[in-house]
Amino acid sequence: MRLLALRCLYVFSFSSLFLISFTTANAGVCCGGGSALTGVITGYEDRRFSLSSTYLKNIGEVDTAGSSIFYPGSEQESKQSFSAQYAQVLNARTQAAIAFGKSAGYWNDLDLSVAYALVPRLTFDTTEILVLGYGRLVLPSGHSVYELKSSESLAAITGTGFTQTAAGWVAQRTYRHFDFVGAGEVSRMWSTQSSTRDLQHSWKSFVYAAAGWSFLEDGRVGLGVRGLWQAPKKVKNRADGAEALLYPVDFSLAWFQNENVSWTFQWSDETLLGPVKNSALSRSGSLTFSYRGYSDL
Amino acid sequence: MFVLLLVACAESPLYNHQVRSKAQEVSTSESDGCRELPLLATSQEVSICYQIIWSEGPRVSQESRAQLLFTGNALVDLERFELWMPDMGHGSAPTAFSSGDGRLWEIRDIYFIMPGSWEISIQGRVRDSHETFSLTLPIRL
Repeated sequence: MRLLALRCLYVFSFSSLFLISFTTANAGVCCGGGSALTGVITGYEDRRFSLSSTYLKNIGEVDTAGSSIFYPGSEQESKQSFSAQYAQVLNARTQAAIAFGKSAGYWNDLDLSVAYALVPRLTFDTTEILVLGYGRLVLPSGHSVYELKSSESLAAITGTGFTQTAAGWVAQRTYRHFDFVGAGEVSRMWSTQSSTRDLQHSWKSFVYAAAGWSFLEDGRVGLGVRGLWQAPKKVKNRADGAEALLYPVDFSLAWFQNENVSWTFQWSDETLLGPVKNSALSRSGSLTFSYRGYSDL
Repeated sequence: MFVLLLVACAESPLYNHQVRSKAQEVSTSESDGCRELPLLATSQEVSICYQIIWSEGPRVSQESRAQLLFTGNALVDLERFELWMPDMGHGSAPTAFSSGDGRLWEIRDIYFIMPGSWEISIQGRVRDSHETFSLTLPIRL
C-alpha cells in the first residue's frame, strides 16, 4: 500500500524538480551568486536533500541603455560552484529550508527560509492548486564585490554583500502530464557598514513562470522564465546606481531514478530575452542530485 | 508565456550585441595635458596641476598601471586612488600606490573588473598645508 501511494506521489512530484534545480541558478544582475529561489518542497516528500554542481560562464554585459557586449570565447570567465540544500516539512503546512554553497574558494551567501502553505493540497489530487508563502533570510557569508582583492575577477564574487530579507510565494498545479509553476518575491537588502563599505538599503524582486511536461514514467522537461528587477544600489557618499533588469530562461531535464532519488540537468541562459539593463550576462549548466524522504503513509 | 517569449526576443541580447575584447585598451584624454587641481580651500598661494599617464591600460580584467604627476609650487600626498562603477554601485579591489616624492606617484593594482562606465576617485592633501583635494575622473571601458 505504501509503495503504491509512493508511486502515485512520485509521478505527481515531477514539477517540484523544477524548483529544486532552480535554486542552483545564479542570481544574475551584478554581482554575486547564491540561490535564485528558495528551496521549498512542493511535492509530497517531507524532507529533501540536494547537491548541485554548477558550471557558469560570464558571456558579456549590458549597460544601462540596454547595449549588449559579448566577450570573445577565450575571454569568457567561468566558475564552478557546488551547493547543498536541505528542506524539512515541520507540520502539515509549515516547512523550513537551508542552502549554502562554495565556489572560487569562498562560501556563497547562506540562505534560510520558512514556508507556509497558504492553500494546502489536502489530497493526492495534484490538480488541486498548491500555494506557499515564504519568508527568507539571506546572510552575507559570501565574498562580495566590495571585498575583492587585487587580481580577483568577477568569478571570485560569491555573495551580494547585503543581508537580505524576502517575502514570496510559489504556486503549483498539474494538469495531466503538464505542470505549471508561478512564483514571486520581493527582497530588501539591508544597510551594511564596514571599514570598506557603507551600503544603504535597497530592493529587488522577481516574478517567475514555468511549465513542465512529464514523459514516459520517469522523465520531465521544463521551461521557465524569470523577470528580475533590482533597484539602484545606494552607497554613502556616492551617486545612486542605476536599476537593473534581467530575464533568465531555464531549461531542465529531470529523471526520477526511483521514489527517493532524482537527477536534474538544468541549462540557464541570461542572453535570450530582453530588455536587459545594467547587468552581467551568463550561461550556466547544473547537475542536481536530490534525495527525498517520505513519512509513513 | 509564449507571447512573453516573442515580445522579449525582440530585445534579446543574443540578437543585439557587439563582440568586444576585454583586453582592448581605451584611449583617454586624461593624459593629454596638465589640469588644475581643484583645491577645497581655494588657497591663493598654492597652484598645482595634475596629469594621469597610463603606462599599462586602461583595460579590463588585466592589471592597469598609471602614473599620477603633480606639478606646481607645492608637493602632494596621495591618500586615495579608488575605482568605482556608478551604475552598478560597486568598485573593484583596492589599488596600491608608492610613497611618491610629492610629484610623481606610481599607481598599480588597478583592476577594472568589467567593461562599462567607471570613475576614478582621487583624494589627497597638499604637503605642509591644510589644503585637500578630491576629484572624480570618468572613464569608459
